[in-house]
Amino acid sequence: MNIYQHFSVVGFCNTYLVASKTHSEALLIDPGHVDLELINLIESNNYHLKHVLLTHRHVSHIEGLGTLQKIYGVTVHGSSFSSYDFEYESVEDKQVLNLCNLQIEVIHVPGHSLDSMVYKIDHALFTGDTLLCGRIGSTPGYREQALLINSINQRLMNFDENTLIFPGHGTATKIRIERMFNHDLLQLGTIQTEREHWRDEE
Amino acid sequence: MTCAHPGCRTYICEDGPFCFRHAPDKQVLQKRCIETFLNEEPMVDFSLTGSEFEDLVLPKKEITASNLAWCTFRNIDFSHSTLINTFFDYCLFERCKFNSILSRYSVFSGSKMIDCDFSGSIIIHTNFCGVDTYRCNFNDSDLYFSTFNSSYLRDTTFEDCNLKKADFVHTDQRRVSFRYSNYEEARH
Repeated sequence: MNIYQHFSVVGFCNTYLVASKTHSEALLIDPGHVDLELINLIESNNYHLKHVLLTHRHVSHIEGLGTLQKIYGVTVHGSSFSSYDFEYESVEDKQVLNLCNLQIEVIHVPGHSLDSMVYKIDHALFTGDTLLCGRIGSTPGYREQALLINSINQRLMNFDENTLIFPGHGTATKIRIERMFNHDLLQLGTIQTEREHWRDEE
Repeated sequence: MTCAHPGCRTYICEDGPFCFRHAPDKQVLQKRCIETFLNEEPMVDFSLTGSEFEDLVLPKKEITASNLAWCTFRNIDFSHSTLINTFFDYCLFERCKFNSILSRYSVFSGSKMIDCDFSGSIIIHTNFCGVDTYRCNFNDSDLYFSTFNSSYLRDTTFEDCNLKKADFVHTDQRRVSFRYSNYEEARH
């Protein structure tokens, strides 16, 4: 699988172009902003963009969709909890999609927003705004924060420690890194951590 | 792909079904990796975890989408290299030079860095979460959107840096200087 990361200062959102190593069909995750750099990324790799996956409905993650649909005939996939004013195919928790020769596992992780979905493709998790590097996504209140931490612990932290995490904002990370250094999860969650013994040798 | 050794979930090396730790031909793999480091061709999609390297000067190397986690680097000169989407997590870096590098979407989390010099670099969207730095220098660097949270910073300087959207939350800092940097624009 090939993953290309694109960042735009409009909305500060990461967009991911994902394709199988053997096929030219590609999909895009969270087109926050479509600019020439993103189009060049698709075209210079000779990809045929076929699908768009949305992690949640916040504007900074979907704003480029209008431009994208004018250029490419893409099918949009979003959470069944969302309501958009454009046509899309709804996806549900535990659903497995087969798109662009890739098997995509849909994981519902509410908290940041009710419709927050995480997509697992091979050994990579595209977490949107649920889990970022070193912190969890923002929440409107403490109940939603508790819900998000619970959802992350139950649905994401059980994956293998080498699983890569590609968040909607900020830097890439891994499950092991978040287990050890994510302060939001360490302070408020119940995950087991190796952190307390990490610096014993000093 | 993960290692074929029972119970091991480390990613496999370039060749064969095993990770470096369980590979029967470790020396061959390491030698090939050093050759790849030293030639001028871009290093793409390369994987070698848990190896040790010493006294190398990389020739303005371009390393993309590679996995070099859990490695030890002693006296390695990465200056003028380009590191894109490359994983150096849980490594030990001792006396390494990263002058004028371009790092984007790369990961150094959980690493220990001793006497390392990152000065004059563009290090954006790079993950330093949980690093331990001792006598390190990030002066004159652009650290836009880079994350240092939960790290131990000792005798480390971030002078005249761009720290916009950088993250220093929950860092333990002693003798750290942010002189002439826009520390107020970072999360801390």
